[in-house]
Amino acid sequence: MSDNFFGNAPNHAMPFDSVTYNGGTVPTTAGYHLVKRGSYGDVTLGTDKCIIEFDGGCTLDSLRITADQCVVIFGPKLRIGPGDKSNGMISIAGDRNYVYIGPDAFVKDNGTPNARDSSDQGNGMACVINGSYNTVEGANWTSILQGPHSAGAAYNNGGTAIHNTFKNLRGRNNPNEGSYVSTSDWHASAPHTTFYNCLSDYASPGSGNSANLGGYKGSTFSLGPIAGTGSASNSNGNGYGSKVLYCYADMSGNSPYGSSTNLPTGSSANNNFGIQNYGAQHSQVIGTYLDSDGETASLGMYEPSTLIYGCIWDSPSNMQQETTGTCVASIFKDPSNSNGTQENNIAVGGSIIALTND
Amino acid sequence: MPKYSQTINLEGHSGIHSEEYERIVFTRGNYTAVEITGDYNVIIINAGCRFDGRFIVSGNYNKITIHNDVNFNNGILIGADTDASVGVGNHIKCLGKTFVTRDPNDYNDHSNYALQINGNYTHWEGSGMNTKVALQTASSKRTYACVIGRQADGDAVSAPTKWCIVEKTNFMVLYDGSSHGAGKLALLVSGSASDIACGHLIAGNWFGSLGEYDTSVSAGQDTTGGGGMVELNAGTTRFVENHIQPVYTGGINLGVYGKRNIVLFNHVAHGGSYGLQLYQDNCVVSGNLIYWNDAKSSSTSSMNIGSGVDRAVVAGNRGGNRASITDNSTNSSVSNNELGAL
Repeated sequence: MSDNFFGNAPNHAMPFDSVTYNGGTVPTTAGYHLVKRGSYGDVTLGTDKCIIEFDGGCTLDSLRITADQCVVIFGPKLRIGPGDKSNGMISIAGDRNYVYIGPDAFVKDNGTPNARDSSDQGNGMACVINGSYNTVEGANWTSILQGPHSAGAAYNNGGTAIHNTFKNLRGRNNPNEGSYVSTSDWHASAPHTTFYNCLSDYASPGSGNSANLGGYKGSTFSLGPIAGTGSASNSNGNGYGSKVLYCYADMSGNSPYGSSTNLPTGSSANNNFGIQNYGAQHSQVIGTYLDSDGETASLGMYEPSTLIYGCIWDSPSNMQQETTGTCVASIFKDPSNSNGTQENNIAVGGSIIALTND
Repeated sequence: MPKYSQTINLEGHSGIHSEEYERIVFTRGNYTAVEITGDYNVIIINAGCRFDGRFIVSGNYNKITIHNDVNFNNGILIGADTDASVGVGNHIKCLGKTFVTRDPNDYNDHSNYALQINGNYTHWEGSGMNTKVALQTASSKRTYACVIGRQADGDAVSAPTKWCIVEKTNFMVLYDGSSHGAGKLALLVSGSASDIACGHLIAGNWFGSLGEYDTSVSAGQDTTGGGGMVELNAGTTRFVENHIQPVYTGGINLGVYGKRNIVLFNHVAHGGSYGLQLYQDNCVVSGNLIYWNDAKSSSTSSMNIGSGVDRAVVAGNRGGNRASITDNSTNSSVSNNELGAL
């Protein structure tokens, strides 16, 4: 059976321009390439319109896309990392690229998280998008991104990255690591970032960590700059017009990755780790469920002209928005104030009716 | 060349496939029963395939792409009949015209499904209206086009199926011309799991044949058998952007019976009884069109919120024809719904 058999034989699903086997070099030219199960090191796509399908069981050291209009389809059981890349384990700097991450995939960054005042674009982040109009999509919640600072982030400190999407992915931070208030599972730190059906596993920084070790957790979904100096909202980048659609966060005691009860003490940031918006005006959170199992987990939209619609959070903590915000048709404990429009919400005044098993 | 680098060309080869990490191509042709027991495969079902036996995926984490004009004539089971931990994490994606049904000659005496999704983390992704999952009624038999977390004996799997995505598919149960059977649903999600967080996302589907309203139901049209169209029993289900518009459902179009369900942006019409019935706590129902019931009667509410329901949100919906909602809940927010004749 020749290599070309799979590429060009009639009556097969896909005609490929090339087939690469274990230990070979992944082609990065424009065209349609098949890569079989194997290990391939660092892969950088620098030519536009390069389309690659990886079979199940592939291992990479990193994937970086600097070109435009590339398509990368990973099969099941992808492994990237654990490793430490300054741009992120998966980094997309070009525009209009699409990356699909198959089932049972694990992309892990074990690098040092960005300091809160760092402008680096990928330290401690499993997947970073710096370009525009890109999509990273998982098969389901067995497609996992994990990083100490961020699982997935759309971010560009020049402010030029816009309209990127993360879909059907599971994200978590590393246990026992973090970087103050900027640590989050998901970062919408570039304008018009969309998270669709993404899951946050939470992942506790760990009870034994001190502040110096970065034992902090910012939030599950962070809308706004990736890091801040002095406060989270005065650094580069912003999440203007971002959306959290039909997402899900599990920070309950039933999460195997740690709950909100395991946090170190000493920072008010530890009390706010639901969805936090510092620096993302005109953003929306719609149809999103947060399960904190009765632990602290707020939803705070601390920017103008935001929308919270159709959300449920199981939490004794609060909802907060600015005077131009709208929060309707949602269930939570109590609002922090009467800012903006608040209609048809159920403020349950305590834990919502318990689930027996979550 | 190491074996794991080979592509398997099946050429009509049915039976059990236990390969792992393979690229398996079902070339155009007819197949009998097929079971994928292996894990981590990339499976491509070419255009024009026909499966006359059951198609079972009991392996884990396979990526299955179904190309155009593919028929599954005796159903699909993803997972095992009684266990949600089997057949986990598979992504099945339809690219074109796909038809899934079941041969009535093979119906059991109880509950029959065209698409049975029992494995956790399953992602079923249709291609839109061209992906149809349809079942015919049969005398004294239950017919459910799609179930998540149900056994063939009609019971729920003991540990409920969790974290599935079902999207972009047209589900329906059709009258066989002689009997409306013993109960039907286009979709039934995880029974006995109302207070368990299951976290399914059901998005962008169509339920029913989308025919026009007709008081005389002929073979091939939506059945009037009892049961309804969609029943959500699992906790924390997000049911969004779906379209339920059968000709004649018989029963409740959308039953929300799981806690903390989020029901947004759906079009729900023509309930044989209520368009929506909400029977659990802490659910959000908003941004939906829910109207026309009992043959456009104005005597039955389009929405019914049961007694014992605590802290529900039903707001910002368009309902009718009756100008009120039947609401027996407590501590709820039921307002800002535009009601009345349409």
